[in-house]
Amino acid sequence: MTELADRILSSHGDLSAFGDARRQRLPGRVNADPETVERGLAQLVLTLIELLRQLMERQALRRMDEGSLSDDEIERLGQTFMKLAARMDELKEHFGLRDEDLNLDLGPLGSLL
Amino acid sequence: MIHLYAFVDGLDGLPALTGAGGEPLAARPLPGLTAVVGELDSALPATSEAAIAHGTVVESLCDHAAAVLPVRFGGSFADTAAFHAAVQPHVAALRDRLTRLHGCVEVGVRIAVAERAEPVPGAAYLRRRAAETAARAALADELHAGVRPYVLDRRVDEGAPFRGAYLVRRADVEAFARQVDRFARQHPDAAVVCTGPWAPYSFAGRLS
Amino acid sequence: MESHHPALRSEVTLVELVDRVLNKGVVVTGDITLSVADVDLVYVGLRLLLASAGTLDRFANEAVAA
Repeated sequence: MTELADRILSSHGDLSAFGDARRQRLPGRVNADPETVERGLAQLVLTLIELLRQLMERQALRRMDEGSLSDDEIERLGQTFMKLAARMDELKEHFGLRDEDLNLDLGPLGSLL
Repeated sequence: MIHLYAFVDGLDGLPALTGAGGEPLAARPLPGLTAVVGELDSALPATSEAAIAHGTVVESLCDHAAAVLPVRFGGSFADTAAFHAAVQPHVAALRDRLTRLHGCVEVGVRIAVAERAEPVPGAAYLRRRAAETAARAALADELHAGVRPYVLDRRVDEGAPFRGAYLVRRADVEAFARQVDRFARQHPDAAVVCTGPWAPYSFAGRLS
Repeated sequence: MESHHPALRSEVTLVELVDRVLNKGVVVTGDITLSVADVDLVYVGLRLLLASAGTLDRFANEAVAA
């Protein structure tokens, strides 16, 4: 069997983007069991919030293209989405979750996100 | 307790490995296919270590079988009777899946583009998000155009970071990787990694 | 970290493997589950989580000690 470490077929640039977020961002918890009930629930909740965030953002972009949002609305929506994204990043970091962890496989419907 | 690793076809022998719980691996024959299992006293803990051990077993099976259909971690049954009751209704579908995966492996590609996070006015933030979304879609299109000759099927997540899983014939893995190299050199600002070969986890499908 | 550091390469490989093992692959369950796809998956996911409920005590103790 090809040793697991040799399964990189091609790599370019800084690979730390693809590493383990937990180890990188929470050095004090290297050995923390990743499958606690609390983390699992956080994962589900954050996945749903991420879904809503993406849907709302897409809708906002569409309406911005259409020209059906006032400048003031665009500004306020943008600020809100930015703050929400920042808060999500904080929560993900707290629970040691990567972007890839915020996804649900819905079977024939594909992945949630 | 029966822990299930994978369904296989054309198994020439079990790999010289113990299972994720230190148990011996066993081949359970079914009509037209084989299930590779381990017998344990209790369920495996849901830890990275157990998951890696499970994955190591599945990957080593790829060297011993003509087709491998990986089972997700967590597939365990109280006893042999429960195992057969659960699997029996799906035997035909599993055989069909294995036929389609014959001689195929999975290759993964991840692309990360640095996204600026500094606070900007709200309108500029939305415009930046729109541009980033469009840029990711363009990168995906370019990658896919290059690897198209080798790809039998694909599953893609065009979010940030981009993640693609590609079903490829074993013999085409090297050529696929060279195309990824070519693509990456066109985009020196992006981090790109191509991994594999893996057992075809992303193309295992669902059982209704 | 330098992109060709062997530890990072191993880490990336393991992330790829664990992601597949936990989130992909065929699911065979003998338990009675509801037939709606997303609830089915949540059930499987929660079963996996609840199986490790014993570790919650240790986690809680760590949090208190910190």
